[in-house]
Amino acid sequence: MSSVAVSLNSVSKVYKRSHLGRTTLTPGVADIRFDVAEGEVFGLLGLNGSGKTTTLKLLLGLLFPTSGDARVFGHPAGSREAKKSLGYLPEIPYFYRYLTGREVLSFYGGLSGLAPATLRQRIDHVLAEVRMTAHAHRPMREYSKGMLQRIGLAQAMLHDPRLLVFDEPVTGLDPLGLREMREIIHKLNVGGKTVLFSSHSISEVEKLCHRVGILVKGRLERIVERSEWTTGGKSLEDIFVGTVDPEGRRS
Amino acid sequence: MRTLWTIARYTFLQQIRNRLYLVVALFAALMMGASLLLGALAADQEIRVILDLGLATTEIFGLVAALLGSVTLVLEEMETKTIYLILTRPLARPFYLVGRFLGLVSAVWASMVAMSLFHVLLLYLKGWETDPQVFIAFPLMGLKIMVMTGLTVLCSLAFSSAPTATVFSLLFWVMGHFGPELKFMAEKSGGATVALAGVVQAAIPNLTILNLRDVLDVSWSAPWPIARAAAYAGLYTAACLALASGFFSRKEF
Repeated sequence: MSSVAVSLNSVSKVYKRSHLGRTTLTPGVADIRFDVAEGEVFGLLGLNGSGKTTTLKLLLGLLFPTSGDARVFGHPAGSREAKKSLGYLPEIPYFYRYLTGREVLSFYGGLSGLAPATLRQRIDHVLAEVRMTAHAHRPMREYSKGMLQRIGLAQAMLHDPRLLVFDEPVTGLDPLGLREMREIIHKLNVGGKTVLFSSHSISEVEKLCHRVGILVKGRLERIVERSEWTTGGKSLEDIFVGTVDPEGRRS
Repeated sequence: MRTLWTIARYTFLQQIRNRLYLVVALFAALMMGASLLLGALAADQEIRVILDLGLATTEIFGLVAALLGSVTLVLEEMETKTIYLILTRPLARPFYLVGRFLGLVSAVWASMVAMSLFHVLLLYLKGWETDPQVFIAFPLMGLKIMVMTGLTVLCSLAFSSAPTATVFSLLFWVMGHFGPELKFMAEKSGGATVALAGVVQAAIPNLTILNLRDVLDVSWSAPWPIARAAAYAGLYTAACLALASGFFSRKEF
């Protein structure tokens, strides 16, 4: 039996903002419950503002849940043990402009606790994986968007984590970049990694995922198994639209 | 410890590559210009004027570099979201903050050392006879900048705004140089003002004990005032960083 990589149990997040003595409460996500098994590729689909990034940030410890419990391989989300086993690629990866690609990787590898000899080896390996070896000595301010995305991917894989969390990994990529990203995610999964990612791109999600969670206005409305869109007679797009807009108001 | 060292090392590198060398270059240009000008104007007091001007300029340039660096030290990382990739690594948040602080202070100190070397070189070129007290002034200035860096990091996290943090830090800087005057005025007023002044004085940094001109009998042969000043600077900075860590640990991104 495979172990549980990610588990969210009734997780809710309410954003609280105070300004000049006035406090405003904005619901982020409510009562999110799902598990991701080790070795699975799980996608989070939803419209803008549906709570995809909030859900991922709760798992990463960048946000603290208002209620509920989030765990990564059994460890509380945000704990050192949980962070040791995950790699994260944000929607738009931001880096230090004055450092080179290799220096940035060396920096993140150092923070992940990699020993110098292992670090050098891993940097060479991940640079080759994302085809950035030739550009590794250039400062980051000279990189194109696609190159930044590749270095972002490299830093996520650097410490060889068991779980990879990608926030909108295909946004803004050209067709070749899209294909490369798909191949990398597939290769990671074949190598035994668990991948959890959010996306707007239904076509990418349906090619890669074993299961998909559909978020609507901060709530997890439905979890769809791969068999439902491969043999169930409905495409993932039909299932998604039917879930987010059941009465067809937007069509 | 390795993560602390990693953060400090890259912060140092980032600061040096970013803007600090400009501060040193500007200082060198200013000092050279001033020495040439004052050579003509100050006649027999030329060395004295260059000495005072150099010490004041080193401190002000160090302060500007420290303030600019520390108000943006964490806030800029929050705005540019570079902090996401750091805080999702297995390190405790206070370690990140202390590492960033150490990297920044080292970079500012390095720029101050470069400025001081240039200053001393200029003095020798003008025929200065070595005064050991000047070499005590340099580390004391460095400690003052360390205190201000810690305090500004605390202000930036408490207010989450770079302009507000800058204004408060500058206010603390000014008040920190007028502690005894503040106490004197409060005692003249009497009543609750004395107690209030006591609280304010405890909170603001006592920068007068890090000013060579305000400390009597300082020399390498009687090191206690220097040791006392260093201990005070260390404790005050540690308290600022502990409070800043408290704010930072509760922040969401």
